[in-house]
Amino acid sequence: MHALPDPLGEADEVIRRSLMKRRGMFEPDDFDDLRSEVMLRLVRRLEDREAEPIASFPDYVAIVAFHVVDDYVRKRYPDRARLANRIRFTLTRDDRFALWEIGRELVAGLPAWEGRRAIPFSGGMAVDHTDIPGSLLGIFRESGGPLGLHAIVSLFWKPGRPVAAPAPAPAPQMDRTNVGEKLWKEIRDLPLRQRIALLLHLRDDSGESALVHLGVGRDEIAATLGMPDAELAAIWEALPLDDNRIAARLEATRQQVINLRKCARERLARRIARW
Amino acid sequence: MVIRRLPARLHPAGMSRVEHLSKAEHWLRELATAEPFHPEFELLARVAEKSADAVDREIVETHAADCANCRAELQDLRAYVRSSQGARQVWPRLLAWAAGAMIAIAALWFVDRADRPGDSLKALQIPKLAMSLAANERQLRGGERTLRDVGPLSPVGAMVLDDRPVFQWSGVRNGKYRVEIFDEAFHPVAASPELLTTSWTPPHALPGGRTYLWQITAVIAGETFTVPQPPAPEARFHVIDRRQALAIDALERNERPSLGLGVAYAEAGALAEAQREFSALVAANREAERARTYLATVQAHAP
Repeated sequence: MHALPDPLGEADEVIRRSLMKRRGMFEPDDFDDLRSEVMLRLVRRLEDREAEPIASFPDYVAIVAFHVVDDYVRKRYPDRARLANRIRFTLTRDDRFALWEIGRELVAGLPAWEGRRAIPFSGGMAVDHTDIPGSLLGIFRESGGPLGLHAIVSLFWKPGRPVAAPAPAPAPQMDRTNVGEKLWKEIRDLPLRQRIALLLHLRDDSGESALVHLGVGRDEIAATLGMPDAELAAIWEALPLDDNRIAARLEATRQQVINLRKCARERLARRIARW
Repeated sequence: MVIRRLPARLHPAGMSRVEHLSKAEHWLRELATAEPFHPEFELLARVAEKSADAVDREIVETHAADCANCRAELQDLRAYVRSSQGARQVWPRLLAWAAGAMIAIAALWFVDRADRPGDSLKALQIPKLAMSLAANERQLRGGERTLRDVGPLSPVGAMVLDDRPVFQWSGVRNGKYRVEIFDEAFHPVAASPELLTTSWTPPHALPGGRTYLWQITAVIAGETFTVPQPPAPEARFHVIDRRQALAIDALERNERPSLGLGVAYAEAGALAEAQREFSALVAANREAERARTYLATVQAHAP
């Protein structure tokens, strides 16, 4: 096997460690598939010219690995994902419990324990899915200390048959006809905030605004952005705008702008896959 | 849509239409392989419990429309929220009935404060505290409250109805944050664990009828710093008294938008909510003239 190019070579060990921390959440046979998926996402992220710089690469790799496992659980064990949501909701909304983070791991317990590390626990007491708060109180009484969120979910969840892994999607065979028109139509179908978050930030390889490559006039772009042409003209030279400036226009937070754009990109990706 | 000839100013020098399409196609391929996006738990939970703002709702609901897994999770969480709220409401029912009677009386007082058609327009009694918080915020806005892109966004300079407000701040990717809340004597009241997100809801209610300050300690690229820090202005907010909040809660269950609710918001100091309610009345052309007058009054005092 060829050595992976840096920084991906450095990432491999972090991926292995991160996946091993969550090994109870996936079938051992799927380890290599998950590792490959993390690598694939890292490669795409490193090639994404619109993405923010990565402050700490090992931290980022670990987060991507966790996301890959979370996505795997959602697809293969949707009932576990829903149960985990219910438990997490209870832990964050019920004053009798607390949920905190230590080293990227979520830890839960009684409020008096907040900030402490999770302890090992292998209790097998009966839990009641219809009374999650009562069951959590029983678990914490038994454990006498905080537990990792995933360990808690595992106490509630009895593995059922996983949903079959979807067959690998064939590489998209894009219909090349009228690509620009179809893309523009899909963009116009996005909700307004998503159009703004996507288009005002859109940049090409050189970091310049990529609006010029959409193949439509500025007046039409302005209409799609819900603004007069004169308003777009006034900011044209400043494009692409950074997220803080877009946030100010949308009266949203910077994180919301990032989420709006991610949501828009994913929606477009789903639409494009059908072409 | 027909791709039409581009205005010359939109063409980068020397780029042909074919090159444009090639760029578009390249971008399409990037999109087709984009990293999947699924709303994180807290976002999903806020939408399920109806505490999310319009932007977050749009993000979750448009995504859920396309993603079957997230749609199922959102539906399940909504069902759980409803059943949890139902369970919480069962055992203290007697207490709730007693409280309900008091709240109804208080709500009626607010409704009575609202003008009825034919009445002369009554002046809004906006609390001095709301005005001073807002005025202070206006004066201090633009002060250097943000450091390295990290700064408090909300709640700032406002009176809030929710005793567990959602704290939101600007931040950078891969930053770690910790929120601390203090009372006016700078006694710690609540603190978050280490967070990777830029929003946090305290797990416990903040006592109502009090003013608080909050700050963020950020760790970015190995450097730790706290914002806002002197000489930057403090991030202040006030949690509205619980009885007033309950009375408003009773009004919120009635037909919306309503002039009475707008007045209740304004007179409790919840100026953002009051603006929203009066604006909705104006947009719906219901009691629009009165709503417009009240809206102008509230806008004059809002931050």
